Amino acid sequence: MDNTAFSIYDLFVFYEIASLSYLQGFDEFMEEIVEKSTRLFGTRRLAIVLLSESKEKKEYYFGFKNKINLEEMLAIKPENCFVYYFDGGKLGFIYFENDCKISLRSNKMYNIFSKRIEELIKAKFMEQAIKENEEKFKNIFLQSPLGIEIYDKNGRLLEVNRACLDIFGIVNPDELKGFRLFEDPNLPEVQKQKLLGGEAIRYESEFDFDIVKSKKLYNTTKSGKMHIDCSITPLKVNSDICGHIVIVQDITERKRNEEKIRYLTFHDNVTGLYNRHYFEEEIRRLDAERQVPLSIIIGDLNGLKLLNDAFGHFQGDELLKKIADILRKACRKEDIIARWGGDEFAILLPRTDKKTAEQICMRITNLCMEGEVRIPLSIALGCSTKENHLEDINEALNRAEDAMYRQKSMEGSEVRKRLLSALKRTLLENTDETEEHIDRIKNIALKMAEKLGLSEEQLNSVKLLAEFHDIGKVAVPEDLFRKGKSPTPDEIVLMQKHVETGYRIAISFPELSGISEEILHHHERWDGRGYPKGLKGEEISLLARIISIADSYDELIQGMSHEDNPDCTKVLKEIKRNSGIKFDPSLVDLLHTILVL
Amino acid sequence: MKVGVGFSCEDNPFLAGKLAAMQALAVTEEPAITFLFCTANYDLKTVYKSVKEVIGNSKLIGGSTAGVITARGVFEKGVGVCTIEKSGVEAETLVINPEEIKSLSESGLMEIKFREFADSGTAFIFPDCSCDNMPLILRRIYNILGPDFKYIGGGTGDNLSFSGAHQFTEKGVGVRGIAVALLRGLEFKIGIGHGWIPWGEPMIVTRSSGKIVYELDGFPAFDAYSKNLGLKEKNEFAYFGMKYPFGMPCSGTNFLIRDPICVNEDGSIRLVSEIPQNSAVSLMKGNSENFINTTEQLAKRVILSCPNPKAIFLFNCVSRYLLMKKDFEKELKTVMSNVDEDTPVIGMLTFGEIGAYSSVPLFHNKTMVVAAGW
Repeated sequence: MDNTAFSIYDLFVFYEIASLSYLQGFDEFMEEIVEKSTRLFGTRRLAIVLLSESKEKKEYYFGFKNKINLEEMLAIKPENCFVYYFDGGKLGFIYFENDCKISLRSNKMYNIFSKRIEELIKAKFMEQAIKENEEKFKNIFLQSPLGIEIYDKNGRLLEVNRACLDIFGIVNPDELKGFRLFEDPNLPEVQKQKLLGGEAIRYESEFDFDIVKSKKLYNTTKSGKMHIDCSITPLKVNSDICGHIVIVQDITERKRNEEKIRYLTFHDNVTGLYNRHYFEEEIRRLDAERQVPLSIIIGDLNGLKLLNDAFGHFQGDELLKKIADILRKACRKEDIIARWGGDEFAILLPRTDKKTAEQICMRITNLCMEGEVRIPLSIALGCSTKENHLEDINEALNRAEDAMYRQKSMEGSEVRKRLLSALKRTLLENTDETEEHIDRIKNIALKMAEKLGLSEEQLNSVKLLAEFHDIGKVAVPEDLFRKGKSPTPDEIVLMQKHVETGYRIAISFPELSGISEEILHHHERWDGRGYPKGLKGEEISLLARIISIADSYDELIQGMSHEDNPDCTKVLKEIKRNSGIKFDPSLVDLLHTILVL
Repeated sequence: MKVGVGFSCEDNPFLAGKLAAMQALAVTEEPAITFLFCTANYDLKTVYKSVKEVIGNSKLIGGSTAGVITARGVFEKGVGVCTIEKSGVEAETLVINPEEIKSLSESGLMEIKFREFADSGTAFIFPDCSCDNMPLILRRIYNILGPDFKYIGGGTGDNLSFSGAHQFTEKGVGVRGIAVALLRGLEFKIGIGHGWIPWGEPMIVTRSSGKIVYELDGFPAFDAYSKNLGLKEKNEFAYFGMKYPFGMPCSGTNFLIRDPICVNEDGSIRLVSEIPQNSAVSLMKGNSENFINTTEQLAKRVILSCPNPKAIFLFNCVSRYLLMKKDFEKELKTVMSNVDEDTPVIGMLTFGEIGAYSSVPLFHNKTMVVAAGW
């Protein structure tokens, strides 16, 4: 091309440049650029490098038979080439090469062509960015865990996402065709009016599926009610409302949890009674003139620690629940019953005189006598009444507490006796212990103790020990004693725990606390291979060593009970064989002496 | 370097082939490459066989045609053979599958073979006239061989019965392929010309696909085309289509001609070769006088600037032959007037012509390609 004015031929070229398009992919665009530039401008080689915003690089080469260093060529800038930098180089560049030096006219043409390419590239990038954004927002809409609905300005539903369909139990989205926001019967009227006024609203309410079904709004798999948190915002373009967006969540679970928390804030989670916090609030509330006379009952449950130590906290909880039931049964609807602390209870009786309060205490006591959870139910009660509204309620509280403590100390030993008796009964009824076995052990052990010249006190301890050495067995599952087969290793471990349980029971009773160590040791062995601690020799208490031999002797003798004449010599031989191993050698000799003689 | 040319129009195909080959071989003995152009009214396999017997192991390239061009004129029946001697000349041939080359990754085999052949030379390309998208295929070939090759050729065809074209290489006779021969050790000067001139206002091909133009300037193609010509009925199209082809702008203020064949029911126009969508086109008009003048200038430019040409190749569009009728001989004479009597001349009537205005080969219609080799 020469430097004369643009000709009709140039018009053709301008037409072609103007009609260049980038409608399909990158490769198709490159083909069109190559076709036009080779045909219109005689380009013999072409290279294009495109850079996206994310610095992704696309390259296209035409006519380069061998790999070239484009940067080097750009630096040299030969006369037969033209380079155009897109957006100052930010988007890349294009390189054209001709057979001969590029004239001024060709330069202008290439410039126009390159600008057109640049325009198309920018438009494409923008289109891609818009598409990516659209995809992004579409994904947010589709995958949002919140239900989203979009309505047009007339309140007609346009789009709804999967989460929304799931919230409302809709399987087929077509069910919602024609659904209208302002005709939703579940939309509270107050909120609807605000919405019609152009306000954005947010509310929590109950959503009734039965209304949906009765009005045949759409098919739903759900029924009943659910709680929803709903926010509706008008969509505006230049302050004109063009639609609404609804975001909805099913908060039924959350409401339930809130209820639960509210409940736990004021209730004891074991017994279901009110807790101390609530009780104190109620005292403040009911401490008023119109509630007088206001009575208070304080109760202290007996044996809870024993039950927990002996049988585990599960049994302890059962005891607490049982007493809670009794209290509910004994009291009236208007009475406030609370678990005051560990094993303490408090009852607030508004507009109740002293006589009535005492009657309720009597009712509680009587009901306790009818019940038992491994041990007899027993609760020490104290009550007081605030007769005068000017009296300080705390004084009434203190009086009730004092009364309870007096009751507790008075009943203390009697209660303990009953508890111990109950435990022994359980031992004889539910385990392999028998009264006869206890008596025989006692007999042997006492003889040994007398022979050793032990004191009166020690002799009494021997008697107690014979009776209660296996008290811990009350906590062992009954069926282990009824099994015909040999116990499994786990069952053996369970059984061996009876020494520790027995120890804990013993320390709960002053009467038995003196022999608690002996109860713990009575399965230790002279050689240190016993349980639970592996004590050795004289580390094991004397009385425990005595009981151990007596218990084993009796077991062995009873093992031969099927014979007409059980041979105690054989048994003694067996005992002797374990002298220094299981048994104290001196005590073995002592037993031998006693029995032979 | 020696070049031999032979021609025979014997009825017997075997004899025709043999005689033509022997004439050519009388000059060159052991050829590096043999060109074979044969009119489609022969049994091509028989002609091929007879030529092969004579030329032995020589590389072979060529195809079927509607007419063989020699120094004496155009022959609608005949076998033309041209042999180029081995001394200093090397050749390689290949038949390309058009579908493979059109995909964006070039055919592996072709790429390896051609890349290894040479960094420069001349490529003779003879596609089947039925090949689609020859412009794209030529760019693909160019992308492999590069700007240091020259490109020349033309589409193989038949005797306008459209029964099918054939392509020849030393490996055999094929159909629907593109026969390519690479030569080195031989220089060529190549010129293209047609004599068509733009007429009327430019139009934009607003919709096209393959060889069919659907819309021009947003209107049905036939309507836009006929508006300029006062054409009323579709059945008149054949006459006008031949006389008024389309032209696309091409480097150096040239026009690339596109030959319309027929109009379809929907008003779209089918062409011999593709016009890409978004191209600007013009109607072209021409007459024998223009054509002959252009050819004369072309021949002078190519042949006279060539130092001692050893061979002249002519590829002229079959539609020019049909359009110019007796004037075609005059056109040929203008070429010959620039050629020594002894200089071998060979060519054929083609269905599309291949040549470059700058470096990249284009696919032309209704055009003449002249190549002088030395």
